[in-house]
Order: sequence, then C-alpha cells, then structure tokens
Amino acid sequence: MSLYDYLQPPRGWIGGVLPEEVDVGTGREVAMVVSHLTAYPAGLAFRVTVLSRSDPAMVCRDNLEASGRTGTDSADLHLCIGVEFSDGRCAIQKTRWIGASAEGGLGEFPSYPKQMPPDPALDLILNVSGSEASEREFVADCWVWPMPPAGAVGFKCGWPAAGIPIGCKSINAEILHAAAKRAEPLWDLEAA
Amino acid sequence: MSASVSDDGNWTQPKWWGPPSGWFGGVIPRELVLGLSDTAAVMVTHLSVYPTGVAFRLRAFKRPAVPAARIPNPVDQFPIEDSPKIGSGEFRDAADESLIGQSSWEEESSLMDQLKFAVEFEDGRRAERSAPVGGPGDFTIIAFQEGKAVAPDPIESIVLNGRSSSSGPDELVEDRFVWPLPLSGSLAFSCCWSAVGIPERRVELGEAIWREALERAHRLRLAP
Repeated sequence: MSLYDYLQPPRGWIGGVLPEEVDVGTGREVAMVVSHLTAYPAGLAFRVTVLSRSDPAMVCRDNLEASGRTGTDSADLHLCIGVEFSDGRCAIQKTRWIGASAEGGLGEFPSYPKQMPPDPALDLILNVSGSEASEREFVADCWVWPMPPAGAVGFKCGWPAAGIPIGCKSINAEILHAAAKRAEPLWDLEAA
Repeated sequence: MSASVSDDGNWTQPKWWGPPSGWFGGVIPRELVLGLSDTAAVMVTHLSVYPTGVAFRLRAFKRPAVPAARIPNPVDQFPIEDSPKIGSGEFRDAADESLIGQSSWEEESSLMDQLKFAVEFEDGRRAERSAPVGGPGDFTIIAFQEGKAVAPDPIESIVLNGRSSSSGPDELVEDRFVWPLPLSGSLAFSCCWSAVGIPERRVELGEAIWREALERAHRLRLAP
C-alpha cells in the first residue's frame, strides 16, 4: 500500500468489480445511479451517472433563474455525492453539472484528511474526480478511502434543484470486502 | 460533442457516437489486463454494455515506483476465456523502441502515442485506435464531422469512437465506445506497445459475458 492511497485508486492493481448498481436518486426528469463499484484492499472506487430526460437547464430552470439574480449558485444546484460508514464517518462532496455563476460556489474541499498521513481508523476521504458532462448525461468517478468497516455503507446522494432530495441508499460492506479480496497487484508492490 | 441535425433542426446523436441517450449500461464485472511488462501495463476497465455497443476505459500506464523483483505475471492467471491468444489482425506499424528511457513531456507523449489498440468481432470486423472505422463504404468520422451524408453499416462496419481522453507522463486514459454489438460471438481487445516491452496480445470477452451484462442495461427510470 502507498502513502497516497487516500487520493485515488491504486494504479497497478486489478480491482474487484461488482455488477450491481445502486439507484441513489430518482426524480421526475432525472435519475442518479452508482455503478462500477470496484474494490481494492485500500478503498472503493465507484462511478456516479446522472441522466436527464430533458435539458437539465430546463429541469432546474427556477433555481437557475434565482441563482442568476444573486450571482451565486444556490446549494440546491449542486450535485451531492456522499458516503457514510456504519461507524458514523461521513463525507459529502459537491460538484456541479450546470450553474448560473462562473465559480460555482462549491466551497472548500470538505473531506480533507484530519491529519497527515490520514488515519484509516478515523478519516474517510471521498474524492470526486474525472467528471464528464454532456447534454443529458453527467458522469463522475469517485474514490473512497479507506475500505468501509463491516455493516451498511450508505451512498448519500441527491440533486435538490432537479427534484432529487439528498437521501441515503445502503449496501452491505460484506460484498465490497469479498470483491476487495479478488483484487490483485500487477507487480510485486512490496518490493517497491 | 458533435452530432447530426435532424429534419426538425434538433441535434441527434448518431448511434455509433456513444452510449444511447437515456440508458444506463450493464456493467461487466471485471477489469482486463491486455498487456503487462516490467515497466508498464495496458488495461480495459469500466466496461458497460448497451443495446447499441460497449463503452469502456482504455488505460495505459507506467509501473509505479518500479521495484526490482517481479511476481508471476497475473496476465497468465487472469481467468478470461481464451486469454493468451495471439491476435488475428496485425497492427499497422511497429513502435520505435528507441524511446525507452526518455523522459521529457513530448517524448513521453510520443511513447503513449505508440500504444496500439484494437477491437475485433468474431466475424472479422476490426477497428483500431489509429484507424477507428472498419468496414466497407466511405464512412469516416471526419467525413461525418464535416457534415457529409455518410453512415456506417451496422452489419459490416465497426466504429471505435473516442469520447474523452487524458494523458500525462505516466498514464493515458481514453473513454471509448465501440459500435455496434457483435451479432454473435466474442468481443476481443488487443494491444501492442513494443516500446515498453508489451508484445501483441489479445483478450476475448465471451458472448455469454457481454450478453449477461446487456440484460442489466436499462432505460432511465423516473418517478411518476
């Protein structure tokens, strides 16, 4: 394992992938799904996909207009992606697909480690990176460090401006731990 | 994103361009190791099957913090059907091995550029990273982007379109979409990256694997 495992999935590993997807939010025009759950000994990668039946700017029209008047995006315009462990640790990241202001008002990185190096027993890091947006689809790849403890793992996601309040859908960490056991290194990392 | 203009003036994404609008793909729960040497690896990850094709991520990267020793090659152990089969097609030119060991940004980019990658169907259709359209006719992605009335043939053509990409000194990441689905049989990925010691190698995804994932693909489901 590397000191920087908390930042991103480990390069040089074959991850244990699960076929399941988790419906984390369904509105009248928009749905959010967590998929490509990929487990490693160090943590969990997953992908959030948001699909919209119509132009998301029209779906969020009222909120966009209000944000345009103030010059700052309202919090409801942000896509929320979060993870909660059974021991109470929780990290929520905000990102955005559409917005009225240039800077987005996303604020500070909220799940920065409490100490360096981060403590896998105390910290929960959620990195949302590599997002890609098109006309009707938004995709973000996420990384959770460390692996969740036994019990339920909750995905706290939502997009209030598009009619998806922030909710929590859980899966059992047992299937993630089993998938992590299938992960394997490409090279002898112990010798590095 | 480019697309075509329909009669009513709206932009319409052609089927070969990428995943169909309003669909969640069915995940293939495995990551494929196409090539591995002491210094680099090539993988296919994030495989999703749609009714119109397969989306995936091509990753080529250098070994992090190169160790001296090496364990048995996981490529040889990875349980993919018929894994160690040499590709039937051939890549068009050989890589320049003189680039090994060079380190500037441009040189590293050239190293990444030398990665050869292809997708093949059992019926012989083949598309390459450097030649993304296979099949008869005059269809090319550039001709389409220039507004010409061209389209690939779903029975005889194959298109390997690029959706997004990023590259740095140590890693290349490309999100790709291959259109259409094979009529039957396996879907094969092959790569060759001679400059880092990865010979041509092919990995097949059996028909049962991609069809099982296809059953998990579904349309956007909305609240009433």
